[in-house]
Amino acid sequence: MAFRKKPRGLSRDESFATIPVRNQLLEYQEDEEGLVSIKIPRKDTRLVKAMSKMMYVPPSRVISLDEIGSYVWRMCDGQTTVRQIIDDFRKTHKLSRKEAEIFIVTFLRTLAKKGIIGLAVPSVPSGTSQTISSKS
Amino acid sequence: MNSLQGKWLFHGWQGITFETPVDWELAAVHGDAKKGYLSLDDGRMLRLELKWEPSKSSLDIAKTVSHHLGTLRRKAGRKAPAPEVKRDLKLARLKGKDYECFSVTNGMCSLNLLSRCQKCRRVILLSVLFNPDEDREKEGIFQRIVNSLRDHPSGGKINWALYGLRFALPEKAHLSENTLRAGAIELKFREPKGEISVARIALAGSILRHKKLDSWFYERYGKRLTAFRYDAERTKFKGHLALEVKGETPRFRGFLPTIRRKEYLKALAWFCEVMDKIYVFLSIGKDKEGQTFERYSAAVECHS
Repeated sequence: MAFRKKPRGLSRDESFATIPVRNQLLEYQEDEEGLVSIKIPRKDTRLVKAMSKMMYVPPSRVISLDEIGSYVWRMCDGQTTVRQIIDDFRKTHKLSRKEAEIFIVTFLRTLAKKGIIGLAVPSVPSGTSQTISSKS
Repeated sequence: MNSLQGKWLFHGWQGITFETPVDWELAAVHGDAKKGYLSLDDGRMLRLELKWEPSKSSLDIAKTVSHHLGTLRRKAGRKAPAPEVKRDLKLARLKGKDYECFSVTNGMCSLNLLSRCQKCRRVILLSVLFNPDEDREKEGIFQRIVNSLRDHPSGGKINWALYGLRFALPEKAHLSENTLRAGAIELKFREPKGEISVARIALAGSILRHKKLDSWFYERYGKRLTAFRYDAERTKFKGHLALEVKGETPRFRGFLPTIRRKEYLKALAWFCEVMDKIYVFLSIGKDKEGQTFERYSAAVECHS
C-alpha cells in the first residue's frame, strides 16, 4: 500500500520502558569467569541449503560475549527494563548517564538486529506485554 | 523536576565555565574558542544552549536581542502562533558586562541571556529551557546558572570539565582535536611549546582485568611513542597505581643525526579504582623541564 501511514515508532521514554527478552530458541552457556557464549543455529534459507550440499556449513555458530556483554545478557531476564539496565550499569561502572545509555542501547540494538533478543513493550491497560523485535 | 537544593555539576569548555543541575549533560558541541556552540540535555529534553562569538566593535545589546527574536519568529514560520516575549527581565546582576535577560514562551519556556564581556569582548547567548510545569523553580535555576557563568579564563589557566573529566590547562593551550565517545574521552591541545593530550577511559576495571596498565598504555599510545627513546616506571599517583613515561627524541635516526630540535615526552597514566577509570596526561614539547606537565598533570581530577 503506497499511501499507508508509517506506524509510529516508540518515543524515547517508551523505548527505555521496554523489556529485553532473550530468544528462547537459542542455547547459551556461561564459563567459570561468567562469560556467556550464545549458540546461534544456521538459518535454513535456500541459499544455505544449496551451499551445504556443495560444502560443509556448520549447523550453528557461537557468539562469545565479553564481560560487559555477558553482564547485559544476564540482565535481559524478561523482567528488567532497558532503563533499569542503564541505571544499574551506570552505577556499577560510575559512568555518566549519556555514556551508559549509548553503551547499553547500542549493544541491545545489535543483539535485537541479530535476533538474539526481543524487546517487549509493556501494554498499560492489561499489564501484559507484546514482543516487537524478534527474528527467529 | 530539578531541585535548586540538589547537587550541581561544573562544566567547562573553551574557557566558558558554568554550573547546572547534576543531570544535565553535554549533548552537542562544535566550533572553537572564537566561535562555537554547545548544548546540554537531561535525557528527556534539551536544557541549555550556549553560543559564543567575538563581538564587533560596537554592539547594541537591545538591537541584537530584537534581531535574534526576529530570526526565531521567521524560523517558526508565519502560521505558528507568536511566542510570548518578555524583555529586560531583572534576573541577573553582572559586573563588567553589557547584557539583557529575556524570556520566550511558546509551549516551552526559555530564559535567555545575551551578554558581552567588556574585558574579553566575547558575546554569549545563553538559553535555558524549561517545561511548563517547572514554573516555580525556573528563575532560581536560571539565576544560579548565570551567576556561575564565566566567559573567559582567569589566573592564566582554562578550566575544562565534561562528563566527569575535570582539569585545567594553561591559557595558551588551544583545543586541536577532541574525541567524545562513550567510554573514551580524549582532548588534544596545542600550545606554543608543544602539545598536550588528556584522556579518560571508562570501564577500566574490565580493561585491566586481563591486562596490565603498562601494556594497555603501549597498545593505545604505542604509535606516538615510536619517535621517542623512553623509560617507563611504575609509580603511585594520588594513591593510585600509575605509570610514568619519560622520553626524548634520539639524536640519531639510523646513522643520520636528526636536524629537528629535540622533543621531550612526559606521560602519566593512572587507574582510579574509585571511579573505575584510567586517566592519561601526556605532553610532548621542546621544554626539557616539562613545567606544564608538572604543574597541570596534578590538576586532573579523578575521585574527589
